[in-house]
Amino acid sequence: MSFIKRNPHIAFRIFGKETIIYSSLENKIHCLNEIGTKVWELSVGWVSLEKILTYICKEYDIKRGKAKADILNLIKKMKRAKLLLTK
Amino acid sequence: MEFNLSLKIAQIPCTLTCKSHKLFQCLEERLAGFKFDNFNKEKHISIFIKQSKPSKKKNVYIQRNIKTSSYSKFLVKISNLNGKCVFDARTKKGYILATCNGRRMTNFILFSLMEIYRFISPSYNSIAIHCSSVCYKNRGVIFAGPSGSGKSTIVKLIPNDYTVLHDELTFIKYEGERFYIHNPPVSSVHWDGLNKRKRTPLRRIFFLRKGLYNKVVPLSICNALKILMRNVYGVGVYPDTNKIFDICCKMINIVPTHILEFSKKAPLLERSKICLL
Repeated sequence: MSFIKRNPHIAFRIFGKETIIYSSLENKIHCLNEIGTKVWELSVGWVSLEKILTYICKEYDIKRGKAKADILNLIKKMKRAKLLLTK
Repeated sequence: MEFNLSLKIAQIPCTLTCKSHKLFQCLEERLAGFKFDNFNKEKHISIFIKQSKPSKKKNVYIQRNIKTSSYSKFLVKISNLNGKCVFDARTKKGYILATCNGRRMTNFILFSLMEIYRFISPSYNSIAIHCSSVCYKNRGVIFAGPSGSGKSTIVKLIPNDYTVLHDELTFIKYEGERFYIHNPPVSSVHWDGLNKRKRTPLRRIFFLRKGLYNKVVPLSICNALKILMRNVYGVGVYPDTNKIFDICCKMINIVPTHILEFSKKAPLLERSKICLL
């Protein structure tokens, strides 16, 4: 998994720094925090994990190692919820 | 000979066609407040109503069965009222077959009409919510919550200067950057505001939760949306669920939402405070 993309069948809305995603497949609502919202915004088309990681580390001044673990964890959860497509 | 009855429920125009004059008179009386004459006939919903002989089968339990096929058609069968309702969202044409008599027949027709409106409402920027609604000086408040949370109780307890619009179902329509409360044509109880084609601007949403005292608790957007989606009809069942989500998002963004911890045993003075607009 090195590229991610939003599932095109998912409805979402950004409220300030939070994003609320509605999955009609599972009839569930998911809420993303500030970092999650950035990841969601970046994944409009196929985007590499490296690009996301570089952006997040630069924007929030976080160490790459910690950011990688957290973002991978977030992407795994979003993939499981069928919000993101990976390749 | 055909008799046509033109209606406007939640600003959505509709024509009911029936062959029996008796049936027409009965519907005209029950839907008097929603009658409307001047609208563009190309954009309206068209429903044909027919009555056939009552079936001999006696069903005790209510069974509501909605089948959606290619996300455009639905079928409702209610066994205790005996009848069938089919509606196609693409052609905007429906058919109601009532196989019972008298009041049950009228109830079945009105129930079917309500189902059709729930089904079609997202296409008209509108949603149907399981909630009670009140109006004070042309400002509307809705109280949403699951069954038993006190929706009907709260509308019975509020001060007299509030007009009760409905205690079970409300259509909320997005019109010109604002949300308006519209009445559905059916209710078990006849309130003052019912059966009138009247719209009220929506100013507050309260989600009811049982508590020891009456108090208003702030709510985050995410939680408000989660609770609202739970109370909207058609989520996960009807087509256009994404459209419903979109309307709910707009609503949460525009209309302030709160949790209302409600207890009917709390003192009367506290009760009057909870409805402050």
